[in-house]
Amino acid sequence: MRQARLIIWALCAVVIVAIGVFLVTSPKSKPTTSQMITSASFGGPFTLVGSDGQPFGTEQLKGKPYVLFFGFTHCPDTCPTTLARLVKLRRDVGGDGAFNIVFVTVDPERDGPKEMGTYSKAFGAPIIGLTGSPAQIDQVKKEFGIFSQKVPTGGGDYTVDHTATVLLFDRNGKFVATIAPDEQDQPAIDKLKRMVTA
Amino acid sequence: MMKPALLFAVLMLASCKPASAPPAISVDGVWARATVSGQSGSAAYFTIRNAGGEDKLLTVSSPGADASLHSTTMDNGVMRMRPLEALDIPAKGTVELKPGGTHVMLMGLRQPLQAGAALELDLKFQKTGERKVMAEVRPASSGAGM
Repeated sequence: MRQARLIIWALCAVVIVAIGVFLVTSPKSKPTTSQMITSASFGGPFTLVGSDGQPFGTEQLKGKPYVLFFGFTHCPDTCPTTLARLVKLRRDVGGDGAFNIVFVTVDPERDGPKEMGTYSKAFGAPIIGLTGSPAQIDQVKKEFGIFSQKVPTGGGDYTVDHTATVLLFDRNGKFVATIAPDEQDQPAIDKLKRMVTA
Repeated sequence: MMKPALLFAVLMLASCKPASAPPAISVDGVWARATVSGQSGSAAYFTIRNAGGEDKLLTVSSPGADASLHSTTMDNGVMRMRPLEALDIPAKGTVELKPGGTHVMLMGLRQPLQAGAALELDLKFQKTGERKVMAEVRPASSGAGM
């Protein structure tokens, strides 16, 4: 009798521990941004406009891994810093040809094909600058979960607050990872290496 | 009961409390990022070293652009730039303006910044007063660290 009660208590303990383990390891009900970003529906094919004024689509990126970064050419700090960093990291990973750096404007009103072309050449390494109609840019921003908002700076001028996360895609155009703007070099290099070998 | 003479001495000492030490400011590593034609904005960075008492950087101006102190903050992956009222320079402290952080925003550039050229920046401190420094224009690919 006493033995049976002990066994029941032991079983109860096992069940309680199991519930605890499940609660701790099960996914949180509220997904974080990075969890949402890894969903299968993320991204999608797009067609924008290249610096030569011609349509530029995702199919032109196939066969080589690429990183996608959104910004604007009048951006004083974050965009040139990020592009300079991507150029440096690409050299660390395997040279200028290791993957494509794709820079998409969130400011199509000021950044036409010509502006994107001139700006993309300023970093001493190949960068693909893309623009499009405001509707095209809005569509691509939506597909990739990119936020942007103009902030007036006086005198009719403005800057743009925007998502500065870099998106990584393998040679088949499959989304593989993100690099946060404030992420250290080493984890970023590790991710880029995985992207290149994927 | 305190004797009047002692009270007097205490009051004297209290009023003689030395004012905080004057700041001793030096500004180095001043640079700005080169731009291409058509690009109206860039940023300048420098390091302020203070060997003395606290001070405040109130404004930065430039004959070559509309300059202003800005901070870059990251909010869940979104980059936001906001003007700074002033920049506190702590006593015996160092304040670094660098890519991806606090910077001098340069808007409305009168002409593109060419690598190798120099851009005048006029710094106005609360106590130190005005300081003119020359920013070295470096290639756009500089300052790759965040």
